[in-house]
Amino acid sequence: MFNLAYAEAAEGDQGEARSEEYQAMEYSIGVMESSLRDPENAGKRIKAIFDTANVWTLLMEDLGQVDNAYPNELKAGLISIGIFILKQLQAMRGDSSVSFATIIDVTKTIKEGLK
Amino acid sequence: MGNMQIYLRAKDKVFINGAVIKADRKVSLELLNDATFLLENHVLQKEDATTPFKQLYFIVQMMLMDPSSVEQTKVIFKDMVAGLLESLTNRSLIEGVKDIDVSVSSGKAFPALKLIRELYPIEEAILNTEASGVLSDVAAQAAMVAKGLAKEKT
Repeated sequence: MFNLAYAEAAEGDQGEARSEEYQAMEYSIGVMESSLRDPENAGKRIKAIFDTANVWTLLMEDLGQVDNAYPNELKAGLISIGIFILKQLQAMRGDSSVSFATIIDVTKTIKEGLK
Repeated sequence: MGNMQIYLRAKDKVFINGAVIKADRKVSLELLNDATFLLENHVLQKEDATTPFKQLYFIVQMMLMDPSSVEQTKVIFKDMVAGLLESLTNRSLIEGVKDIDVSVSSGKAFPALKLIRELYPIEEAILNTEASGVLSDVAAQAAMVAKGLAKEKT
């Protein structure tokens, strides 16, 4: 499964972890955009919320690991964004009028940095 | 942590079991027993202890640098740990505080300092987001992080 692949890769070398981070972002953008195109489909929306929360939870856990090589400032920046996204997803669970637009934009920006 | 190798440059200071030792030249020392030590560049000044985890660091550091008052310091440490566990909501920080408590309680103050330093970025991130309720300018933050990530590419 995707989640397992991500966790396994996060344990591997830096370049590999980076490419898996990129793929995780791309995947998350994919499910969110799919939900955005099909707003009536509650299943798609729930799946997108769930998978995106998973991507960020795993990424934030990895950032907290001792062997994570990113500088502290970058870790702090990424964790801030992670907290923002998880809060936003939490709000979306209770309020169907909130859209994925902001999270998609933010994720795309981060993904570009990982290229 | 026996047989610990310490590398010092000229004029570097190291605190070993309450003694302050200054090197006059480049030297490497080997600690053959479990003495607690602290390198000068890991020492946090009181005026820089501006966040809860930096205050915690300062307290643990006092245990290493001033062994004569370690019993009083331990009481302050325990109060601080209890306060943090009550108020924190972030899982990584809560688990971190528990690990730090275990480490200090079993006499391993030096490894505890390392554990605390590792939690700084998470604390900073939470303080940044909580100050404004939400991240005030998430797009700008994301752009900055992306730039940082691009720079990290090896």
